[in-house]
Amino acid sequence: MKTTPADVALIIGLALIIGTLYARYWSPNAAPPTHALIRVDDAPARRVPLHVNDRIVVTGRLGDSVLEVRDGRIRFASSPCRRKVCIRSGWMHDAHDATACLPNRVTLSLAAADPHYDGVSQ
Amino acid sequence: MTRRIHLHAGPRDHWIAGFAALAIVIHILEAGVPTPIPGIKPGLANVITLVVLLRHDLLAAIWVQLLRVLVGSVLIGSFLTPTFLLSLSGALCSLAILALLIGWNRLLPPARVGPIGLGVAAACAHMGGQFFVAYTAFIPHPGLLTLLPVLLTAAMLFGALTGWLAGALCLRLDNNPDAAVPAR
Repeated sequence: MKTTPADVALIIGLALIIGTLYARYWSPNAAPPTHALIRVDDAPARRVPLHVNDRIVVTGRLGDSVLEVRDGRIRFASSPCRRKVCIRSGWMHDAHDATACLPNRVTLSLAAADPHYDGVSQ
Repeated sequence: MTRRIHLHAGPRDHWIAGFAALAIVIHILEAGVPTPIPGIKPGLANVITLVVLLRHDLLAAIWVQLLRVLVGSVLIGSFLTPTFLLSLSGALCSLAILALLIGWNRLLPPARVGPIGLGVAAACAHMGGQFFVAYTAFIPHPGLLTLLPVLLTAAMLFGALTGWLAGALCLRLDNNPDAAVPAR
């Protein structure tokens, strides 16, 4: 089965489109996050800018969780939970990264400038 | 008084049903094969659609494709589920692009798109349509877009495969006196 010139043109065109999509969605730091969303229990999310180094204390069901913002990244520095899964997940730095301290009912997610959604499940 | 309506299935209806049955069997067999990434499957049932398109006409290909989606989903049990809607939107998009390319081939026979081009275009349109519906209706999360180029790459590869198979099958059928083409 031979390809015609039109086949080749069509395949090259599609490959270019797909290549552009790879460049757009697979290049690192395509859209750096601008702020973090911190939620405690069912309370509305608190927006924390990532360009200001800071330590944020939020009070959950078990006690205070401390979040540390440094150089556009954020992590759980301490939390009163037992297994410290939130602390072990380390620094969050890409848009849509998320972690949580479930025992303390604190969730943390990173968002770019204009999110069109209000929830992320990963 | 009841009025009886008689529906007569002509020879054309019979062979369309035959091709659709072939496509449905392939569709169902494929549904049982596990895939590494959700959304990626060879789509070999489209070989039948392409063969019908190449050896017969667009209308017959539309019938075969839509019957395959409808009956396939009823037999698998996914009728009117999100899976079915994705399958249908993909099928409609691939038919639209095939109609466009067949029109192109009529207008410009020297720059004809062959079976492989048709297969690739149909598969990518199928994936694109499905993805659009999945993204807008079911999972409007930007993370899903990361999957798009991967899915389209797979669509291109499997589209080339189905197109090649359809072309090879047509060549064999053309050389086989037993596989006479019914009247158009």
